Amino acid sequence: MIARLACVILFSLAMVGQNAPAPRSQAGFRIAGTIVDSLTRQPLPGTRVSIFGSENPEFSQRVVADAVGRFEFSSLPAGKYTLMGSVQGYRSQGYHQHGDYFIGIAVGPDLDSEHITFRLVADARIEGTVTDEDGELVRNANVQLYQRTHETGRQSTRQVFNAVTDDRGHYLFSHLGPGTYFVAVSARPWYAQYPNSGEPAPAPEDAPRIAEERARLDIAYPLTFYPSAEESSGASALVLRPGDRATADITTRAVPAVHLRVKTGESAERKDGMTIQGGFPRLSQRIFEGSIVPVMSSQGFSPSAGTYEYTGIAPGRYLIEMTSSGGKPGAGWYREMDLSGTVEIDARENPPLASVTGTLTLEGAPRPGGKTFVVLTNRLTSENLAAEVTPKGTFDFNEMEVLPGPYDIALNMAEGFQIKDIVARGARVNGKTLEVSGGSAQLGLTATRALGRINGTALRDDKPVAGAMIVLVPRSPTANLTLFRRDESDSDGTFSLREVLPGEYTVIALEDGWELDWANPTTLQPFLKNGTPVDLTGEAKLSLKVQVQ
Amino acid sequence: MFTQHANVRCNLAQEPRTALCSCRVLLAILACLVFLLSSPQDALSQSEEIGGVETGSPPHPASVEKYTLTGTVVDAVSGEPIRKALVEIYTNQRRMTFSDGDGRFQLEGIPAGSYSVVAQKPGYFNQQELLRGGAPPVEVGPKAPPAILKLSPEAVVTGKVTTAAGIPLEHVTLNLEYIEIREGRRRWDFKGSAITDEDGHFRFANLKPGTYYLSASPYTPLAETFLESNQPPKTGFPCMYYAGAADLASAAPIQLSAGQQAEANFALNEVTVYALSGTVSGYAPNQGVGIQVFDQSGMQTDRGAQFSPENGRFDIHALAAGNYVIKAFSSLGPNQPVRAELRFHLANDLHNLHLALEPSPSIPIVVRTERQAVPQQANSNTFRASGGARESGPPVAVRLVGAGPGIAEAYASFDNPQSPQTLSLHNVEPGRYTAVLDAREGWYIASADYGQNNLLADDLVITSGTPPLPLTIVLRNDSASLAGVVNVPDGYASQVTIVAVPERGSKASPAVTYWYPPRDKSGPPPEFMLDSLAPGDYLIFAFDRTEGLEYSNRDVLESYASQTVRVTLSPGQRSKVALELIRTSEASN
Repeated sequence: MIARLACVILFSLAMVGQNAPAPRSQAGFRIAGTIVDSLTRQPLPGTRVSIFGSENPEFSQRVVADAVGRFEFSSLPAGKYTLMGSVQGYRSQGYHQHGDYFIGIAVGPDLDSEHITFRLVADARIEGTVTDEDGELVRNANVQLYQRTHETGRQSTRQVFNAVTDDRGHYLFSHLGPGTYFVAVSARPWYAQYPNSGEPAPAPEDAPRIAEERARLDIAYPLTFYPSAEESSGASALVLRPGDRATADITTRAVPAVHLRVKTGESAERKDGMTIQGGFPRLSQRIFEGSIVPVMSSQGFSPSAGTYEYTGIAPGRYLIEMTSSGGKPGAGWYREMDLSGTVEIDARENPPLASVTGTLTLEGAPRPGGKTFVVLTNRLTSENLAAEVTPKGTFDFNEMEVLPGPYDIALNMAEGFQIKDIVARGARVNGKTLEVSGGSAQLGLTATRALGRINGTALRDDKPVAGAMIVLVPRSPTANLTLFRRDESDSDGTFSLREVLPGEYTVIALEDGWELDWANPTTLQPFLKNGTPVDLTGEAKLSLKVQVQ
Repeated sequence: MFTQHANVRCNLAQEPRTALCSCRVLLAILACLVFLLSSPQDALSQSEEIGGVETGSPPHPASVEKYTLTGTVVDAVSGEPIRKALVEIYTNQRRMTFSDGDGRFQLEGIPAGSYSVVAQKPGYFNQQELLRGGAPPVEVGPKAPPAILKLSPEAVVTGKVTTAAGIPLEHVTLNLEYIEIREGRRRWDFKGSAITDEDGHFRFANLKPGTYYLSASPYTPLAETFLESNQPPKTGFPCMYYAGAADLASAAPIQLSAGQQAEANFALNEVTVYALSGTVSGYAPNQGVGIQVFDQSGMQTDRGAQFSPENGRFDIHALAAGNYVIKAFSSLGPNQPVRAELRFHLANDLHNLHLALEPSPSIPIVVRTERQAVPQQANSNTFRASGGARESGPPVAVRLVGAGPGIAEAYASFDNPQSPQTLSLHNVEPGRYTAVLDAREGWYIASADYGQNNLLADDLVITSGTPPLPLTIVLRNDSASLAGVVNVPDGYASQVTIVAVPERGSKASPAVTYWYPPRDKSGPPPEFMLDSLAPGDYLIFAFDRTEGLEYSNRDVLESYASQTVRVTLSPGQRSKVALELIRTSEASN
């Protein structure tokens, strides 16, 4: 069962429209069991336990577990229920929750829903202190928490929370699930002062002394990973088990700041000598698997006409992107390079960003009432870019401009529409993927609501299996990541894969698959031959049996 | 009120360390900041010296003798040296260095002179930040002694919020109000919010010495899942003031001295909470409506209202029983604010409240002048409030200063720029105010009345729904003046604040001026001068400092009664007085 908000709402709407639940007069089923700590197996009295009707989320009941951790809901109509629990030290969680998925409780004749052992996973936490190279506390530092996951089908390490250090340089991340984490800190030295063009020139005899004084303040902290690494490859992982309390003190070291000079060649109008034409470049660093994290550049000024200088950046390798917003459209550029000392680059020599525009055609149904967005997800940097679709069906990514590279395309807030066909001019299309190069690209997207649904049961030796990871694998999986669907089998082994675009697929069920990189074809390959092939046409609803591997 | 993202540990909203934006600093265009840090730059006024050379005038001649400034940065409370403090001095150039492990610093190549020197260090306030008059200048020259730069450690308030049974409560918002004494008056200054962590702990740092009030906002546990979120809570925790008080009147102030670490814990009782709903009328179609609920003490609660512009309906959940004021704000267009407020008592779910938005009352100000034949002012410009006068500004400045938290100050302004003599206080929110009146030079406030109320003696109370009356001010020009000197101990070089407190009414503004002891004692000392004084009786004080001194409060001055001089000034009289210095600050830093 899946627990995403959008899905639950869609599902409930669909149920109302299609088959409103028949009145259930024989309401007399129970959900009962014991709630325990996942590690110690000690009962957790006082746990708030809730159930919600899967088909009717408005139906809910809540009880508090007794002194031996027992809970019971009675007089329930047959159906499926979401079971949730929370208590001090255990954040709210579903039964056997894995990411967005968990085991739904099936209730009805011949179903045992009264001997549940609900293992709550205790919250873990990470806290620590940020100090500088002199051992002084760093206040107001931005601390980022990254978690390594496999939820997107391949290993990714993404930012889950951020925090700001207090006056003791202290930060705290609480209510964390078990897993592998990394901590990074981004800060500006409190005494940092960057030069700008308004400083009066010192007297010649004072110049060396003043230059030396200013250099001491012209410093920056690099993005620093626990414990004191300036590259994510040197970051130490914090592997948390349920209930762990980890300490991660970070030392960050001030280094001379980079001065990045960008020659634009434009003799921009400078009424007061202070205007920076075209805004600030976006600076980011690649970390972990290649996702990019923005890095602050503190300050900019124009030392001479047509040249802009940006300071407050620590040396390192950066992706520099300058969009053309505010300037000439299509003039955006990017460059990836090592920065140290004073670096001058000429904007005209840098490769261009792409301006992506297009039209969206919605097949067979009126367009959704609310705003709809086309979302491009960069496979390498994990960045998401969204462009709103106009009433005429057009969209453009000119506002942000697009870094060349491979993108998955999807719709957001599209009320059940999925992209069916993609044509492109100025970019290559492969399945549901787009390879964007520099310059301009026009897309023609066709979306449909004619989507199917695959229901099934996960079985081993003809017996239903709860908690299996179900994966719907499209043909040419690598090019069609957006067509994947997943679920977790419920207590009666059933699952449901929704909003499936017509086509050929294979459904696999894996007993222990939650850490699997299912987006990797090599990883998938051994499981496909024992999967169940499906050929979905139109808005069919299929029911099938899948062997658990 | 700030709400902050869950899971982000929250500090007190950081005050910018300096308010200064010189033209040089403006060059720094701060954009693309992933987050903002307070900038350590420029804690002192970048004085005219720098402005003068900005356009590239030649540097000072090389023949100027240069000296080395040495000094120590110390903790004003403990006297301990402070390491790695940034020390800046403004000569014709900004110069800077850090203190070493013993707090010592030196800067070479400084021309002889008297300079403002500023030390900065996180966790400390410098004197420029704490003292209105700033810090004494530092001498650089052949015989100048080493400078001692004192930094005053910040105070911190920490605490824990639990249920009555001792279970920590997470995500409770704490609000801190600071009683700032400015111009001798108390003002409520919202210092920020903090949110409890999973252990129920909160922390406010970066606090100046002074008086604070701390409260825990009403709290209802967060809906644990999105599935539960449409079920209104049945119980919650009402607002509580430190220490365990239900309202501000019975709350205990937290007195913080420099460097103090105070602890303030809350044990909240779970009570039944109720829902509130109603409608708002009178808003323009495309303008938003803000709805806020205030408790009986005037503190804003963090209960957000859901508002549907389609039908004007609002819904508020989870308020404990009690007395509240609900306020709605909107705008009909530029400079056309509308508001509504309603007091209510909540003892059960309450529906069908109605808030009709209306323009806030504007109080017209009628100024009358009574010109007397005063020989020494014969050359002053003729002024008539009713017309024809050449004066460009208003004849009198009128401010209303809120007497409690959550009340904005109101300033009088012109109704019509073409007719600068017509003054009004616009959009005055209901509440209790002290009227602060300043007459143009040469005139004094003879009387100020609002209906039957004498505003020189009483507060001004504006109630909702009552049509405003005119505020009538009478100005006279037969003012008196007072000059004098202060007897200070040997070696005393700091600024002295002279305060003349009129005895005619407790809300009449004291007159204030400053005086510096002479450096050269050989000649006659310079005199201070207070003029444009209303005739009458005065108590005159000469304070060494007035930071934190509520000198407009007669009760506070009572403790200095034995050190005051009483004078009676008749119309037109020029009087002289000799004062003894009053040392107020021995206890504090």
